[in-house]
Amino acid sequence: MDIVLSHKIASVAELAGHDDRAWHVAWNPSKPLLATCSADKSVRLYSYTVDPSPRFSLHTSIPTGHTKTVRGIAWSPSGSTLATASFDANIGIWKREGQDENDEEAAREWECVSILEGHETECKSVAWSCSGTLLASCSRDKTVWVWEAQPDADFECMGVLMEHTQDVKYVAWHPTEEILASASYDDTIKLYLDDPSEDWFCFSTLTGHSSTVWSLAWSPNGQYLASASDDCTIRIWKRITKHEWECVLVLEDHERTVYAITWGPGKPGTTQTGGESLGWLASTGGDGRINVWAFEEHPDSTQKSPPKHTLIARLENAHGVSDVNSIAWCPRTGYEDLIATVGDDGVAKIWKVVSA
Amino acid sequence: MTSEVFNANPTIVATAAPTARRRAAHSLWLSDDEDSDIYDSDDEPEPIDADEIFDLIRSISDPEHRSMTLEQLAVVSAPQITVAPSRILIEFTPTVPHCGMSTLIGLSIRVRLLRALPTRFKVDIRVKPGSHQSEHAVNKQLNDKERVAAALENPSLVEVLETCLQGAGRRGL
Amino acid sequence: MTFSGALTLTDLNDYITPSQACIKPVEQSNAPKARTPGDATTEIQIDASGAYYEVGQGTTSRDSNGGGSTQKLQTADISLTDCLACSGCITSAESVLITLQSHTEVLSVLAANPSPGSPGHRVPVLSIAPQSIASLAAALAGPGPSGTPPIPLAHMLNRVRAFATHTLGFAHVFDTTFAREIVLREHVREFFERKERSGSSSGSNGGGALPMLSSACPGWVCYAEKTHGEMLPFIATTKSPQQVMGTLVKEWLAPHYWDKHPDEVYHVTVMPCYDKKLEASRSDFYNEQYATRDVDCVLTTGELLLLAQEHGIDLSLPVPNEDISLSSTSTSTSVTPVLPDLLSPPGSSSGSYLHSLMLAVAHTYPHPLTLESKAIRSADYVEHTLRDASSGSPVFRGATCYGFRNLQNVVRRVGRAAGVQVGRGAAGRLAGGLRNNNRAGAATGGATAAYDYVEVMACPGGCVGGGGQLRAPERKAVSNTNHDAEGFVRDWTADGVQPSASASNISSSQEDPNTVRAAGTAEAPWSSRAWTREVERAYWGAAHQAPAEYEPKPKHSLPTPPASPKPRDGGGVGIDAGEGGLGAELPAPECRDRAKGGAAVSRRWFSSGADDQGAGLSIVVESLVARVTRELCAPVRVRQRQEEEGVGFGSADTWVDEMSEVRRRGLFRTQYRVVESEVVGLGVKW
Repeated sequence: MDIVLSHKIASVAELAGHDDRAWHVAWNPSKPLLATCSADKSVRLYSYTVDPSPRFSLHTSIPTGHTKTVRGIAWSPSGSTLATASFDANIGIWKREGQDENDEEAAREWECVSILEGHETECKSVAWSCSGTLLASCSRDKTVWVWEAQPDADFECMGVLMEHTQDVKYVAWHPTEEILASASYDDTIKLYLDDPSEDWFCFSTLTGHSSTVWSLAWSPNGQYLASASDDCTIRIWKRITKHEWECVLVLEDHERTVYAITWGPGKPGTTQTGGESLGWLASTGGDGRINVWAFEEHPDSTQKSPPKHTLIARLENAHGVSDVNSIAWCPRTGYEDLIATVGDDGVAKIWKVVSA
Repeated sequence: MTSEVFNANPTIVATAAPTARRRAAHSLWLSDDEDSDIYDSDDEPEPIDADEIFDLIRSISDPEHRSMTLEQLAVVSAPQITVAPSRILIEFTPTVPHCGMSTLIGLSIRVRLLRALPTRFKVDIRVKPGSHQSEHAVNKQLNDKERVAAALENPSLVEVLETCLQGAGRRGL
Repeated sequence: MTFSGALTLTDLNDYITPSQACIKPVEQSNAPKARTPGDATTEIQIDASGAYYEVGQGTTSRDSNGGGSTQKLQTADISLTDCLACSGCITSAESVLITLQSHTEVLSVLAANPSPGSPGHRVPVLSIAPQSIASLAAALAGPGPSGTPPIPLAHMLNRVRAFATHTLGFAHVFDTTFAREIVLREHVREFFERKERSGSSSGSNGGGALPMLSSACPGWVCYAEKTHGEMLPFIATTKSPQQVMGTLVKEWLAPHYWDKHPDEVYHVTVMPCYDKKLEASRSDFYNEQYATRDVDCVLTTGELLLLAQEHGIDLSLPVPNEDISLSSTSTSTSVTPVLPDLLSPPGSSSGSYLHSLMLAVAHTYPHPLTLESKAIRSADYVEHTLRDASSGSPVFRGATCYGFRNLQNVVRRVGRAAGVQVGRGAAGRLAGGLRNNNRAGAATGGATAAYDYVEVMACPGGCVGGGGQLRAPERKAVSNTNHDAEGFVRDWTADGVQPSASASNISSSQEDPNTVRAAGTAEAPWSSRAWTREVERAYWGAAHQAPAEYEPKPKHSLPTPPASPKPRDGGGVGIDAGEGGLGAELPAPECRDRAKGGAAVSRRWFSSGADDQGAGLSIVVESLVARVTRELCAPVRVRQRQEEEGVGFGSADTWVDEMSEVRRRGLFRTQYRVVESEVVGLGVKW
């Protein structure tokens, strides 16, 4: 694998602490907080400072009370609410206790303000819509649920989508529109919209993967959707028309299941050919490898042309011999080159993508 | 057990002697603590072969016929095990092509290896090609680590698994 | 999966594909048979009756009395009760339903029935739900342009009656609306019992709490039993119309008028819903003494039509005198009380449970009331509030709630208001949490005030849209290929998928929900929603075309909207087959908010003393209900003494009230229990 790449992935921090496999990692979109969840049923929150260089310290560990693995976590866009998805079939909604965020001690306490029940088996993933008013969840029970946040921490069920024929692994909202995507063990991806006079409905099914689709990531501009699969590939789906998506690219650069992908804006000013930057896509999985691609729109791109893509960095054995289960770009302006991963070793790692 | 009997009358095969060579060569084998890794993590990883893997799984009980081992039912055998430096592929042969216990057998093999092997091995478990009517579905489920993890949090399933794995520490015979 | 396998059947539009095999344990008496080496293999043979035999391929295989041994194989017996207790199988449940309660089963029972008078003869009785009649009336109206008037329900009922009696040999054909009338009354009675109890004692324990939730939908009841045990105390214990009909037929008509024991009657019902098959097989509705069920076999509307088609009967054709109602085409015995046809109380097409309760509340309330109706996001979830006309304070809050999604919210809301944790006791599990929730539970006087009653139905659109109903007839329009990639027939439009090449035609179109969308060219196929509305129209059409004496008399300022008052505003956004184009925009979010908020429709409600039914009908129904109560609920011993003394029932007010109360409850109420569907051992799916 001796290829010369423009960037390399440098270690910034290693955050041990979970007693069991860590499943998911999520950066708070507005506050300097990073959350990880684990089979040990806890959520760990790390706070960080970036000046002069990123430093991480444990903020708090929440013993969630979920009776089984906490599989997924999601911050609301405001950063004030955290949702947890657990194998115990429930979704927990967490808020910081007390109103005074300046009270350092009180701010470390997080309380469960609501439990969403409805799934019959393991809940695998949760996601907030861009406005923060809708929450989506999915489960092995083959369903995707859409919940609407009400005042007083209550949630109303807006739809139960029974479209997949198998276990649903992941849900992801479009970055700016109320379009929901779900990925499943049935090898497909489904896209949903709300019909205001009726219910949520599936308007498109994306087929192409030859095995379980584990993870999804929308491009920051919303024109592309990336999917990661057990078939060891990543597919890039392009918005052909408003409600039509087509696969325009297949990336084959993993040797085992691709468990996670993340698509961030990338470092500004890094385009290779002067096209519009589409950001950086990072992927990881059962082979322990992290790949980072830079995407650009071709200056002369047509409706169905694939984006220009360049592998800019790669790291082998990111978590030693362990699988890497989740990966996420830091949303903080100026730190778009920071990336977090968690693995079967229970460790959370922070990386920086730097010029080689 | 209250369930449909998938194969009421299985064929039983004579078992081979345990791989005495290994037993003699490695004192670690004599330790019967099945939860401990077979290698000390500090040691230089030693090569491992198909016979050793077979020793780990041959004595797992069949979920349907508790008194019999997977070896006796010819569900597993050494030739069906492929070992690469950090990767192990195990094929097993259900006794009947419609065997509803296949996912459970595969799960017990996976759990056994999960507990006994160092984490550096990536294990793939499959039914022998052509030996099961839902081959693809069984393979897919057995190699989905999320499904396996969730299964291991299901108390009633774990109960069954533990019963199957009770005798697994015997490693042969 | 969200619903039980059973309910999944109800909601065939949900497209849940088969996933799980049946795990019903089969006990085998595995008597080891000596097997000689080299013995020839055996072969399975099936005889004409469908029995399986294992035949030894011995030396003399043709020799019937020896040589090749023939052994009849045990048939796996899976009852519907087994299915009720199982968590997942769909395919198996479906096939079980089809084999145990199918139209072929009805035919074979009828064929095997000895002639009347012979020993072992069972009187065949058919009872059909009004929603099933409406489905037939809408579907058989012809494939004409939209707006083709549906066949009047009374006509349709008479056609079914003619077919069932003349062709199939049923002795009696009823609709279930009179049974429903009894249910509605019992329902009201139960509500006031609960209200009294909740008012007097602080704790709402011991079963029978408010809000009361309707119990007529077996899909809902089954779901609650499996996944929301905490809701069971709220569900009315009043039986459903189907089961009260079963009681009327087997406990009242049979012994009192046909001189038959319950097991000497074969009672078939026709229902809009598959889950009614499961309901009929509940143990509560099994008569131990006579080893018979109140309803022996349940057919869906579709199965009834199939039955007719197989007999070459076209139910779309009129039959003589079909406009004559109150028919007693039933045979001979004219002593038999005549059950009135097609009672249609105003309210909802799912049984008018809420509406009749509101009427009863209005009856008992000393002052005039106003009714405020507000759709929550769609017509499938409408809140109704009765307020004191002068003070404006709420007197009664209710809601109609149809479909799985709305049902979820009702469960959450009821659980929250009542301080009951939703789900399988997960609350205590989340340590340290939920303090906020408790606060919310205490403050139920706020925006989310507690309901007094909710009419819950599992199907979108309610019972007219049941899973057993007929599919929309083919339009003349070019129908697109309705098979999906896997070869399953799918209703793409209902699925939210535009079936044409322009797969993403999503456009907003203002359209009157009452009219079927008229596309520019040929008419588009019915969407499932539009078709449900069409069946709804057929259902209410009857109310206006029913015989004059049944005409609900528009007294007072009665809101006799056929359907419950649903605000018909809010921009309808549909999948339009016509124009719209690829670039069509979805409406802005505000639009949804508007639709969601719903326009609160406030109208003057009647003052107390209102009567919701015409006088003629009232008298007929009242006297019949009184007769049923008298004859069924009188304590047996008292009745026997009266009979011995030759005292007519009519003059008898000697029976003990308490005894008859107990008996009435026994006949018209039922109970629910938490179903533990946890599969253990080898059957665990993971």
